[in-house]
Amino acid sequence: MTNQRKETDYRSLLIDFKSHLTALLMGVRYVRSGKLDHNPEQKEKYLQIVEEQALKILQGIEECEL
Amino acid sequence: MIKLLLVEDDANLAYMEKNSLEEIVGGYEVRTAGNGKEGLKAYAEFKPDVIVSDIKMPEMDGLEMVKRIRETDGDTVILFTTALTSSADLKAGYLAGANNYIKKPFMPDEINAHVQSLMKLKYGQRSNNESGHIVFGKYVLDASHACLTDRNTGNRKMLTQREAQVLELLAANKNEVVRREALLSRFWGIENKDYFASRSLDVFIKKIRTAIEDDTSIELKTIRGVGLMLQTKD
Repeated sequence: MTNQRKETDYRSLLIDFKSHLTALLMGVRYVRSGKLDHNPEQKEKYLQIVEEQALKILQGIEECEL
Repeated sequence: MIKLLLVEDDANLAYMEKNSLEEIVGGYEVRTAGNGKEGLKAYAEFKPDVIVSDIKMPEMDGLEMVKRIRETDGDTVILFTTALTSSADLKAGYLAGANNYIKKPFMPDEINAHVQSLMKLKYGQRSNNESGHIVFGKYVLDASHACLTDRNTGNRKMLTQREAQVLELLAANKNEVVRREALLSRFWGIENKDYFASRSLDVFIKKIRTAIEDDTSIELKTIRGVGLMLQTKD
């Protein structure tokens, strides 16, 4: 793999990470704020997304390690 | 209620933004699209007040989508939410026609703050444009009711909805050339030249010319090979 290709892939991965992190942080902050306490279903959905986004980041890191 | 079109390819992030803006921040009706191509379709159907778009997306990215929207619409507030933050990236976004950037990660309250600020600016600038009516020559066009009123006599002409939409776009860009491709893409949903849509546009243009022919101070000009221009003296 050329250095330029590596750099493009790396940049693309960082961009994806930031999207995953945005949803992850949004979820954690809203759940902690108590704004979802009146809606347990919604709160669960947010927590599910938080977990999925964390797993996407983990998967991305593991692909980098290969 | 602010109509917001959210264009984001990360489905989880889109869900959370939409839900948070509608349920927690409040005051928003949000439509989502998964890429620029879907975004253009949703834009034509939903007619949003605000577009919040990611940049890097499959099929059509946010920059291309915004460029196409800006060919005919200089009004709608457009924000990019992006992880691309180099000066070259920012410059490309503003050149495409975005009003502002929100860097990832962000919270929906930040989107709300940007939207409120830009909407205030927009309505401040357009305070002389009463309730969406467009004035040109001796006419006032109420596009939402497809009604063209002669300001001197009070006489009204009813147009078809499509005629009103085409005329609205030409009047909003009066004395500027609106490309044929932009009109066809916006109202017929096609990207390339299509013989039947093109002829259909010609029929609409002929009807619009007839509707405004009483006012000699305005002229709907065909700029050969380019597009159309509503030329006015006001």
